[in-house]
Amino acid sequence: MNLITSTGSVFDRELRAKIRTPWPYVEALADPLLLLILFAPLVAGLGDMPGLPATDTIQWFVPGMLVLMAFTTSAFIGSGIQEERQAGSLERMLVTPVNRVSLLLGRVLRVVVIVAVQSVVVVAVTVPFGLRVHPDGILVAILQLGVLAAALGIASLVTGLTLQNAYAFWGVIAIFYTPIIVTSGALLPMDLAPDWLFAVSRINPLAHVVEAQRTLFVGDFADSSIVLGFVVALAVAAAGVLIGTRAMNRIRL
Amino acid sequence: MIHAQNLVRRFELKNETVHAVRGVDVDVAPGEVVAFLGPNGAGKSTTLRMLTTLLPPSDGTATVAGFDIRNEPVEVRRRIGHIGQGNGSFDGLRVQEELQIQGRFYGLDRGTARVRARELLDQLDLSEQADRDVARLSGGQRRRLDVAMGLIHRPQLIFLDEPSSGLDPQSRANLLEHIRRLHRQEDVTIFLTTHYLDEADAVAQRVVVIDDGRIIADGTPDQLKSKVSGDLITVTLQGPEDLPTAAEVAGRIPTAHEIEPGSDRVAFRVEHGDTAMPELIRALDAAGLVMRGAHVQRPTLDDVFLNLTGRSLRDED
Ligand SMILES: Nc1ncnc2c1ncn2[C@@H]1O[C@H](COP(=O)(O)OP(=O)(O)OP(=O)(O)O)[C@@H](O)[C@H]1O
Ligand SMILES: [Mg+2]
Repeated sequence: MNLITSTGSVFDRELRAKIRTPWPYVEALADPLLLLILFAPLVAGLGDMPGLPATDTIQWFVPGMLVLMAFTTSAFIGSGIQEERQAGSLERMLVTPVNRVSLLLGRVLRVVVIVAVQSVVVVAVTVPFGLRVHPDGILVAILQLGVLAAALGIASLVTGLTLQNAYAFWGVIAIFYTPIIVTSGALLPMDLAPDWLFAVSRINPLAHVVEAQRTLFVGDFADSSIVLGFVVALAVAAAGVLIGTRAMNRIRL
Repeated sequence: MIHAQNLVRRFELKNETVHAVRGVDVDVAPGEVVAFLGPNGAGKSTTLRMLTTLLPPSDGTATVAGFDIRNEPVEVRRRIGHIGQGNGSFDGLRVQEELQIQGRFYGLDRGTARVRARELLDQLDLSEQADRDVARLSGGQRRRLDVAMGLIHRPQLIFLDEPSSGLDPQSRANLLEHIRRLHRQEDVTIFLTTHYLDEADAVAQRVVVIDDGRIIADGTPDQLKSKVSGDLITVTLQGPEDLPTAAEVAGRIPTAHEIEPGSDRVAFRVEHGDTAMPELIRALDAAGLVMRGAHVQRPTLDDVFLNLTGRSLRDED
């Protein structure tokens, strides 16, 4: 079985497994949408601040929410592969000639597609509330969100495979969740941060993608943040695929 | 079909080394049905995992379906089916979805996978459940789905790891019937692990007994049983006061041995239990003893195991 057809079959299986229950989508969309409703007005109330536009908060806030949505869609999928490992279905698939890396890539592909669809939905519902989108910018923005979802998805799978037990996985998520969200600059601008916190935000891949997304929405293609966002996301994805390939080739059940 | 030499598997844990398999040699010819029998922790699953390329051996070699398990694992995987000890299907998917996608993992195109899946669901009495979420299947149905997934690519050889554990007697009998039919009709070589003696007896032409990572016996069920000398006769008496006389009477039968008085019964082994029984009853009668019951039992694989290891299989369950 070659990598592409194997990945297609795994993708198909993943999609079907999660298409008949709304919960994965509730889990992925609840946080960003609720923040958009409850937190964005507070940001708007702050008025003129470094890093924040005086008016037009929605234009600033929505791109960040899309990044958070990509995060909540893809960062927890490592627990799914842990469950299948526990149950025995992963073992069953490992005895077939299916390409083992595709067992990861098929799962990643699902979150990429889901993130793209959800992005279109979020943008479509916020445009009536004043969100402006640059026609080319938005296409590149969604592509970038897809790359980010792939990077976070593979990182989550690698974490799930390496840690094996569910407590360890959710423990790691609990430790990283808040720092990643806060230093992404999606909720409040990192321009407000003290130096040490700003430094932390520079090693958070999400922070770079958030900045790139804001630029893409207004279509400012000359801005270097766009390229940086891609580079960071692709680097995480590449590292994830490398480690994931090794992990799958050495997996012991 | 299987040719394994000195397979060894160790697990290095933090403070100990577990010797799960200590040097297993097995040869299985095409078309054989072999039961791999042993108590919990004997190393059955570990051996199976090595043979099915899930786990590399610490030492030793094996060819399975004509290919080396270390160097050509993918070729091995193409040719074998493996029904593991856990659940092969995962909640949220429907029966026919899991089965068809399993077919595609083996390289079948969508159409072929669909046809083959329908055929298997029919054979394994799962047609009615085809569109049901696997989470809503009974234990027996779910196990049959595992078997179907292991057969989707028409393998020459299938491994089953405790196929009937956790099933009620009826589902067990039903599953065993499916396995027997598979062997009769499709000429598949079958290697299954079990701790149920009657199961090994019912489906296998050959039994390989493993204990503590080593093979301690290998033969047909009858060959193994013949190692246990004689049938077991148990007579139940009115009370403990009759025991000494009964034991003495039993001892007069020429081939009687291993005479063991219990609380209200005497058990002993004898050749040809069926013909010894009337003789025994007459002798007990003449001695003025009243029997409440009598029972002849052919040697079971449990006796074989006890004989080989000094431990009973049942105690370990
Ligand atoms: N991954 C592992 N790490 C450490 N020890 C292991 C591992 N897998 C198995 N063992 C040990 O190896 C021994 C053999 O285990 P195995 O699962 O092969 O037994 P089994 O015969 O299949 O038993 P059961 O009938 O309970 O399924 C046991 O002592 C077990 O604890
Ligand atoms: Mg086992």
